[in-house]
Amino acid sequence: MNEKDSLLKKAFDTLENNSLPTESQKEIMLNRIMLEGENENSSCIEKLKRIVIVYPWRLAFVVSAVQAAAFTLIFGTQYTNLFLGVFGG
Amino acid sequence: MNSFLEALNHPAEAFRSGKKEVSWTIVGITILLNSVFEPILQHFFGASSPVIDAKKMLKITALGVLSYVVICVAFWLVCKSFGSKMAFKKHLSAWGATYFPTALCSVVVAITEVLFYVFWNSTIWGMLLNFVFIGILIWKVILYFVYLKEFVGLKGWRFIGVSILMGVVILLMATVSGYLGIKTPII
Repeated sequence: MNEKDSLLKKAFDTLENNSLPTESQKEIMLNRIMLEGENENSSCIEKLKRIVIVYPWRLAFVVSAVQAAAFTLIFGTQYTNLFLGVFGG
Repeated sequence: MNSFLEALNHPAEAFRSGKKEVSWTIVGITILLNSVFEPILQHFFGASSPVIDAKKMLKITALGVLSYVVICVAFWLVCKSFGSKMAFKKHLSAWGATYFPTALCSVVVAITEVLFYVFWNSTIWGMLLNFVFIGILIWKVILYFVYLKEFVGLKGWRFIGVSILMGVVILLMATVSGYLGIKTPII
């Protein structure tokens, strides 16, 4: 009976250990929590700065979409050809 | 794969983790896009169909590697002169994580050159191209400032000084790269 108990205990221990996060997972979780904490206690500028740091490409393409639409509407192909001449000529 | 996603979505953390395999893979892909992909695309789809020159491919690859080392040396020297204690190896391991926009730029430049006539005088295609180019440019600039501020840890006048000086170095290197035949500077 004792041996059976010990086997069951070992099995449960293994299950418990497997469900625990690894060191690297713990580190990622801690970083995310700290980031959230920083966001909660920060000003608007700090929040904006954080968004830029965390999502650089998203912000870059949003700004780019706005300028591309606005300046193409104003200047038409003169504007788009200017960039084509510089980057693709 | 997670490390690549980290470099894409959380660059500051990617710089700090300093995974050189990830950095150097992105740099390698960027160099190969310039040295191999672009001439092949020109050969098959370009108006003049230039012959594939293996020697030139090797030359551009070597120049690309050299360019990456030079930009890292420049970062190390300039940051050091402004009081940073960061070792050269750390710059060499981390700066490559900013090469996603550079790699994308290499692809777009190659396509633009080959399909120049599609984009010229076309409002929709031109606007799309403009959106991609400016987006890439802003993305790289953001990564540049995040690198100096969050990774190198520069603050105040040191941050401004290094930003300006490295900006000059980058412009010089871009000019020299163009002169040497690298379409998208490996910087």
